[in-house]
Amino acid sequence: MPNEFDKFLREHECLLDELISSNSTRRFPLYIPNLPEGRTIDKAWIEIPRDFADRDLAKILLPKKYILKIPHVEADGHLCIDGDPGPLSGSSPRARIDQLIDLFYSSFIEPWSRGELDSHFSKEAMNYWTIHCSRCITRTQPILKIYTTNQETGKSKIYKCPFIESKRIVIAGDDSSIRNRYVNSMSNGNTISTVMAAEIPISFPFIPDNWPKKIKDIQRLVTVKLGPDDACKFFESVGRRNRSIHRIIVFRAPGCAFGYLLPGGPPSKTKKGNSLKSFPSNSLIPLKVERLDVSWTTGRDQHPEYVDRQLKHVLIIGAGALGSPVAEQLAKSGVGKLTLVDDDTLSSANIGRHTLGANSIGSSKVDRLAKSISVRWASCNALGFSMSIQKWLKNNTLIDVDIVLDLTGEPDVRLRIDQERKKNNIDLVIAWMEPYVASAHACLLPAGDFWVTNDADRLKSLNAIDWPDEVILNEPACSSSFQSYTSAAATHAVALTTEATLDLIDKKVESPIVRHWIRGQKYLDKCHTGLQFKEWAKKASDFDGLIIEDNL
Amino acid sequence: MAETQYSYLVSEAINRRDAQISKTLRKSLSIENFHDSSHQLEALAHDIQLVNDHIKVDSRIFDEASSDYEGIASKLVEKLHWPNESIRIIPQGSATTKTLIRSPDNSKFDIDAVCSVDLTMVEVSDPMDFYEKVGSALEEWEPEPKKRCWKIDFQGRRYYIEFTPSTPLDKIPQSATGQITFSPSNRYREKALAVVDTPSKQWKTSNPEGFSSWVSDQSSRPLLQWLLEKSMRDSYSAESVTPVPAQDVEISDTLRVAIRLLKRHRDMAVRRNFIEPDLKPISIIIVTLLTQCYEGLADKGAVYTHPIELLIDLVELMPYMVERRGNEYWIANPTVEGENFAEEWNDNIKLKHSFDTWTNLLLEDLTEIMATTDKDSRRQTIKEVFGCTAAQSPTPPYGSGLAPKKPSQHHKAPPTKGLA
Repeated sequence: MPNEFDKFLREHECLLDELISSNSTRRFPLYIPNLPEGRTIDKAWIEIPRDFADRDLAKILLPKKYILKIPHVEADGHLCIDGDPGPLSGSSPRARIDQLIDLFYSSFIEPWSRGELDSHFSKEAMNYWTIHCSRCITRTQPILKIYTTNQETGKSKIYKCPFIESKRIVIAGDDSSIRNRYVNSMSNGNTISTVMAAEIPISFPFIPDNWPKKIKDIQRLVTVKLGPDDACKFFESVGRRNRSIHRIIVFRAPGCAFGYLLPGGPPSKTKKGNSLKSFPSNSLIPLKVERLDVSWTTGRDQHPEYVDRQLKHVLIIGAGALGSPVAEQLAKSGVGKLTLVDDDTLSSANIGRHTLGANSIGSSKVDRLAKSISVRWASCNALGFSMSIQKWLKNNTLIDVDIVLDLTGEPDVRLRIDQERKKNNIDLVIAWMEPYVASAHACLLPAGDFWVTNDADRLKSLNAIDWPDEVILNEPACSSSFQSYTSAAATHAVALTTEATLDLIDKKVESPIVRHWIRGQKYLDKCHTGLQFKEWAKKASDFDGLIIEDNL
Repeated sequence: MAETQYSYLVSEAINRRDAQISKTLRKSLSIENFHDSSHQLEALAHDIQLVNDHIKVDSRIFDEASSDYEGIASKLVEKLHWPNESIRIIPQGSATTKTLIRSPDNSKFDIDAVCSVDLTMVEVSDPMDFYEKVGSALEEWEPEPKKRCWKIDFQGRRYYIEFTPSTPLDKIPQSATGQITFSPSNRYREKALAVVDTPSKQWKTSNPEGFSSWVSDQSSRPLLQWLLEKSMRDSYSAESVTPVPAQDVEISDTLRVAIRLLKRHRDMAVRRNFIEPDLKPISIIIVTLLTQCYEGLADKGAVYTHPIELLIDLVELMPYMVERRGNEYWIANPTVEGENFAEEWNDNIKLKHSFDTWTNLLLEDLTEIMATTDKDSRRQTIKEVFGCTAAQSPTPPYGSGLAPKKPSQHHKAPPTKGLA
């Protein structure tokens, strides 16, 4: 068999004589046809690794001089086209090599010769910029990466922003609140200094042919974009006491960005043994840019509503097994401000169902949760108030709140909030879970619609099951009681509540409604014998679970 | 020699220009002796010629477009039952001035055509009825309505056709003649048409054929010494003329070369993010300013010994050919009385700033080219400035069959990275 494969390789009309190799990888030059002027390729070869038959993939490489000159040539010279289908494809080694060679001509050589790959540099602009940055990187460059927190606005800006020296990263953005939360999240307490940044929108992504390569190119583009006066101010900017300062530029194209560090900043210091070495910053350095703006971090640019949610303030009352994950989901969904109110501390009994863990036992639930959210999802400013809602309302109002979530299941909280909402026209979600999370309910009340009607609290009437007393368990050695359910079962209730809240935030709900999540009879039977649905909920009986929406 | 409108504008422009490019060129040439200077200019002309060849659109495209025009005309006859003789298709814009260029990313470009219909032979109630009827006849190509034309995307073509319904001015119904925006100027008056201006739902005077004739007529006026001499010899004996190599003719067609180069430079300035796509100077402005300038120079009796010198003058003078009439910027359409191609500049000053930004970049780039005396580096600079690098080189026709053998199998998907 190996001999047959050898013969196949030796006699393949597209492969030239095998190259002598110092390792076990075999290399065969590929036949290259005559290509039009300006598009010639003088060499390409196929590499067949030793474990090709069982494990590894064959690939095609081009000389490194073609990197950033021809699209799809990666940083190591290998040609990134759909090629070898691999040993798990069921194809024989011969068929795999044939496919790779076929694709080399049909997906690469021919389209390249016809100019059909020319636009691929701009389609995959960030890939080629990353290659460019990695080719220019030095061990001593003071900044490795820029993170941007501003939304794309189409306007040029100049501002100072934080530089975390030990991590060699800059957090760029002129909205100090979100930017500083990211700095807190990412600095781990390390020293923060300042750089001068110019953020410049551009219409087309940079490609190897046209990205600025010399300081003169940068000066020219920045001067056109900022105007001569602002450009001059930026280029000549200095730090405190006239000390030199790093100057970075972020060019923001639609969906991607390109950074530069200008020469002339303070030298970077590197500790080597007992001595501290200084390296001057005297060259133009391309930098990778990663976005931290909410449109990207929470929605990968696919959910424009996330940007509006940044302006929303949500008050969550109750930060337990339902409240804590709902708060995190809302933060991930782009909500800009969360106020968490709960007077409870985390106990060992909570950690199986709460998002906080053992390291928070004994701490205020909301304090720890707010900190954790702000650090992990810095686009959300979460504040915790470890007190009852009644106490919180003594010193605060709902005036700047857009929506209240009552996740306590407590009647006096429902009543108090209903009264407060009469003073402030805001939306309300009341959500709770029944035992075992056999069902969960989210009531959505747009501003102007109230929970208490005809002096009645409607919660019990909305439950799907009439529960026998023995289902509510008593904690040993204390008078408090609890329901039995697992964290996994509660996840359905979290999703129901979060989606309902987001629908209200996004103004998709005009009149009061209730959404029920109801598990089927099989689940009920597993949890407790003899449980029965109320008449209206019986339609869920045959399903594993069902969501029902009704007017409220 | 009597001063004409454009020779006056050129004289004013000469007084106002910086002449940085020509000074730089003279400085570069003065380093050389006469013989070497001549070589330098020839090398420069050769490099410019390469750019010109690089950006020009293959003439076969126009043949393809011609057959598409015929297809469109047949469709109008078939669908609207308009008489064949009532319809005349007139290519317009850069397709007729021979100044069409490739786009920097090899994407599709626009080819303009006017469909002139004799309204006395067809039934239309008003301008919009006429415009809509033409659009509905073209529905199988899903035309996109534009301000005055229909844009058609023919499958498999490298261009879009922008198709403008129009009628000869004297064929407009009597009742509507008082409502036509603008009137034809005295130049090429017989070629004037009326097109439908959809925002105002009115007829508007247009003269694309006249405009093209203006560019062609001006570009054929000899400003180069040897062309002048040839022209004089022609008038005595056509047989005595030595055939001029095709390449020389190309670069000596300096007005068209200048139009192509400047349009390309503008396109590159957009791709390089110096100017916003929606603020870029429109081609008609570049063509008008350069042709005005050329006409003004010809009217002044200017004579050049080398096309490069003429090219530099055109580039340096062009920004100053924009007129100020009161507080308004004016670039007058020479074939339509009262039409100002710079009208939008007066409502949106960013357009004027963008024009200034571009012309400054152009002058800087050409100055740098002229300052480079080493031939190889200069060629490299020229290629970079005009975007003539490998990934932007012209493309051969389809179906080159470069693979040594046909694909032998149905391709299997490679292992993927998953969806996380």
